[in-house]
Amino acid sequence: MLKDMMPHFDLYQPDTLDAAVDLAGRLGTDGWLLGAGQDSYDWLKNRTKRTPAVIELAGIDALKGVREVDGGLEIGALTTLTEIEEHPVVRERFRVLSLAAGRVASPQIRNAGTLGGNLCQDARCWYYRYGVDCYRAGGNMCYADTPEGMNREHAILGASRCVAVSPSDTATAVVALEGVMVIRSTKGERLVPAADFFVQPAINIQRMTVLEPGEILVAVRIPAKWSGASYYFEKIADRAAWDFALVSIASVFVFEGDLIKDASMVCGAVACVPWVLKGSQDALRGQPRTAETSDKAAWAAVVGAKPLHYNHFKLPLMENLVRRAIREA
Amino acid sequence: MSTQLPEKLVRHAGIDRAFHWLTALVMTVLLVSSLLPIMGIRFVWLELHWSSGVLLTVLVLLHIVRALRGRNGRLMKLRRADFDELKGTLRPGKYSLQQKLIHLAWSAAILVAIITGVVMMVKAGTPFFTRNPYILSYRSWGLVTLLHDLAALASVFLILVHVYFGLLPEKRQYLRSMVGGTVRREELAADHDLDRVARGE
Repeated sequence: MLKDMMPHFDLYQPDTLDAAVDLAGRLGTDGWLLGAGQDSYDWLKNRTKRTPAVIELAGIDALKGVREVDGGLEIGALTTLTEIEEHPVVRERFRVLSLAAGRVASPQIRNAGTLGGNLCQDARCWYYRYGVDCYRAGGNMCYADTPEGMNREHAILGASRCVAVSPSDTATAVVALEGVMVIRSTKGERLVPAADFFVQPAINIQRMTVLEPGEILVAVRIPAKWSGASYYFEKIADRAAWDFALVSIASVFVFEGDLIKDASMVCGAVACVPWVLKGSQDALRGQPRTAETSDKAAWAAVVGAKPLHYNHFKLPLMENLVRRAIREA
Repeated sequence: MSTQLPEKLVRHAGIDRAFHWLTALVMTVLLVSSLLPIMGIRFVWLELHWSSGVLLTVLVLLHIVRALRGRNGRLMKLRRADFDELKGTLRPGKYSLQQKLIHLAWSAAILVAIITGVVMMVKAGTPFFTRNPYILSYRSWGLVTLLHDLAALASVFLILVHVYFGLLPEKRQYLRSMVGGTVRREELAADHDLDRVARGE
């Protein structure tokens, strides 16, 4: 496989959002949107995916920065992960997002990598990345979910033929904070709740998000609802840095005395989408913060889980992360 | 002999009508759940598709058992003599040559769809089988998928033909009998040989 140089493509470098939207609309499926390229360059250099044209968004200032809007935040899609990690307002009021951004990959990658890129990155299943003709690549087979398949990192929940997981660390936090994705195209702007932004393979096996060709994720809005709430984020991976999660959890809680008034809990790397722990949230609301409550929430978290040959360990890991989140938030 | 036949003839027993309409419903669900996602209308289709396929398999098995045990199977059997209907020297018994041929086409399409569908369930992941795509080579899977898809396309074509003829004014007696179960003797006599009908042919 050639990896020594980039293949040829036409490079477009718009400096305004309107120009980028126009280009994306004109090129459609032929226009590959490029943020910092942390995911894209792998695909293109490995020749696993090809594109006739790349639209580099890095020169568009409107897509960068953190702004306060209606008590919440609007974070440009090209804001770097380091900036989000270190931003004082994010740290003070939505710390779970700051922590999640701070656990992505390595410092070098966070300095270049963007929120939009981290949210929209493609599946990290190595069969898919290797370029085999699997379901996600438009083929007719899953090589990971087989008796001999290497599926230690794969999904235990919500799989449908494809068992790849959502690899994004920030996605769990954005979904937990009930973020809203701002999407632009030549047809205008549309807002999509973060929980609906990510697509399960049962609905569309070849996409990770609802983004259609020609659409650009321009910003993520974090509403004020969970501002200042108690939070917990933890990412379990084989290495402390530069690794994808085996299981991660992003949670926010509102406590009222000893009672859990409200909770939002999302697990990463257990399903093809950030997995909202609805059962756990229901088990927690109005309950005292005790070990019994935590146990109930932990059990509810793994209801319906179907571990694969090599990833049974994710079940107790997920249960324990739920318990720890409730205890230490 | 035909005069022995009552004014109203039972053409389809209740259980046969139930089978027909249930099969129609299941086939509709199968086609909708497979074709709409291809046309860009996205929803959780796979579980709906294979569970409908399992229901269709059960219905077909019951239909086969009933056909083999009673005389219904014999009535639908295609014989060399049936082709004399084309020459006009023979009038149809209970079922015409066209009806027998379309039943044969349906049988072939549905059996191919069921057999290939069951094999595909091993690969797609269902509660019935441990998922294992290596029971067949990649090329064989391609062939299985192709046959399944061709059976689906054939089903679409057969549905169009079936519905078209079912709605023709001169064929309306068949549609009515599939709803109410009976057909009037004179009506049947227009297209069928009542003596053959009375003889159970």
